[in-house]
Amino acid sequence: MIQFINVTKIYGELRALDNISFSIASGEMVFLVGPSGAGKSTILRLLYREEKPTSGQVFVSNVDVSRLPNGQTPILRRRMGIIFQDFKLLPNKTSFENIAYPLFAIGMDNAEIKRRVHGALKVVSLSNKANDFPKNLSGGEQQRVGTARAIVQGPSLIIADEPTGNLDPNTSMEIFQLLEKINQKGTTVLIATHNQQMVDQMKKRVITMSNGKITSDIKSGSYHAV
Amino acid sequence: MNISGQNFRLGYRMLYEATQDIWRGGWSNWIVISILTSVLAIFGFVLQVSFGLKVIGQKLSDQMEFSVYLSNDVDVRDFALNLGKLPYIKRVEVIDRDIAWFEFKKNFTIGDDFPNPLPSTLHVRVTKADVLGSTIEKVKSLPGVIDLNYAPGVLGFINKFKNFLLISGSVLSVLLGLVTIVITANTIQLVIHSRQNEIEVLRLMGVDDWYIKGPLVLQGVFYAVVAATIAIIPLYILQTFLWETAQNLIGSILPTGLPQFQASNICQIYYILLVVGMVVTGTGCYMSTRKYLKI
Repeated sequence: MIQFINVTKIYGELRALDNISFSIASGEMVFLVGPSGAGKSTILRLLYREEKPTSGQVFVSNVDVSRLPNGQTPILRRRMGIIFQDFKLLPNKTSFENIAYPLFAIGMDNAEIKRRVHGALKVVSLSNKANDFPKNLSGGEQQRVGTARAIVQGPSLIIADEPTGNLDPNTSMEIFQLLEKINQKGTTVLIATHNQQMVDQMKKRVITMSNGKITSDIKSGSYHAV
Repeated sequence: MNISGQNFRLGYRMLYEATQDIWRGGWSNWIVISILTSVLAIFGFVLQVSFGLKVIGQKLSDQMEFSVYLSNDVDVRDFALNLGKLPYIKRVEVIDRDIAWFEFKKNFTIGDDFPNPLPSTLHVRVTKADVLGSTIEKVKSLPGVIDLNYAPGVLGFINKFKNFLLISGSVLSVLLGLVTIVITANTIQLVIHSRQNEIEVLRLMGVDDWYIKGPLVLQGVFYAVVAATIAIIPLYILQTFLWETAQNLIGSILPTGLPQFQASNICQIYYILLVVGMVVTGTGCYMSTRKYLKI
């Protein structure tokens, strides 16, 4: 599903990624951990092509993302769901509209959009909040709407960048369980996080980074594997 | 999926998005619209002044006419035909002496045996004011010409004044046009900037660039239409007021044909404001959005 081959990313004087290589198979759930500035977010940004590597290759579903023409980027992003720490919901749209937006934008018919959005809302247990605006939702609910938006197009890959960074421990647990549920349905999930407790509880593959390098990659690891 | 149905849905949804954004924008819309209205109203006023100056210049140009009186032995129609072939002659109007005498007798009691004292007359108009002097000299020397009637002292002044009006009006319009473009583009840039986060979210969701730009461009066009429509109201009131005041004060010396000009002028200004507004806001939205869509 994902393959990084000798990837280096340099911002000015800063070497954010230093010749890293790893791969993630379809259906895996992987945690990307490490201190701030270790390069976790850069990896995610390279995956959804917000950045291009300085050198090396990044493959997503056998497509070399680093050489993808700009016009193809939206198609790549529609094949993956992205979850953000700050939720990134559109403030002027209801939960339903936020989740439906990517579907509206590809011209999908209304009946299919309704079916998919209500399905996604059911997965995140927010069917009763379809018409609420983000300002009327709690942090956890907003993140669940963000998760519903990420899964509504049926992506084969979910990328989550610090999805529980703004949430309390109980809500964080709910979000991780939700992501695990999505993973169990066959979707590959890659999560960059600082949430040590959750990583330890989930017993999934953990890739640990430090100073732009991978320091460990353990199949059923924990946050303490550094 | 039916492609034409899909395109129709996409078009409809972009329009819907634009409408929804405007609706939810609330008072912020009116801030943008009031800025655009002010700028367009000022631009419209300058256009109005410029058009006014232009038409006054034109009307002054219409005074670039002289009359030629011919001796009775000249075939007036042949003479007029040949005169019309001279360079810079725009129009030659023939006033036959018999017809003129007939019209004259209708207004005065004159006996039928009284001989016609009127000469045949030609009203000659030249294409531009600065050739009037030389054309008069040329016509004066033609055989059969008894006399010419023109205002020689006014010629130079009219010419200079007309050129001044045309140049100053054009310069003013262009300058204000540029100011309008700069202010409108900056206002639109602020609107787009305030939605930078939203654009980023849409981009990361895999929404195509054109679908992100579309509703914003439509929103810009909507602002322009509303602003131009509001801006034309004070201009119309001002024009009507100025025209009525001018009629009352100096009606007798105003050039003829101004009322007709006034009516078409306000429509013309409205169309210009609409087009300038829509093009500038539409392009401004498109360009500003593009900035935030770069990877």
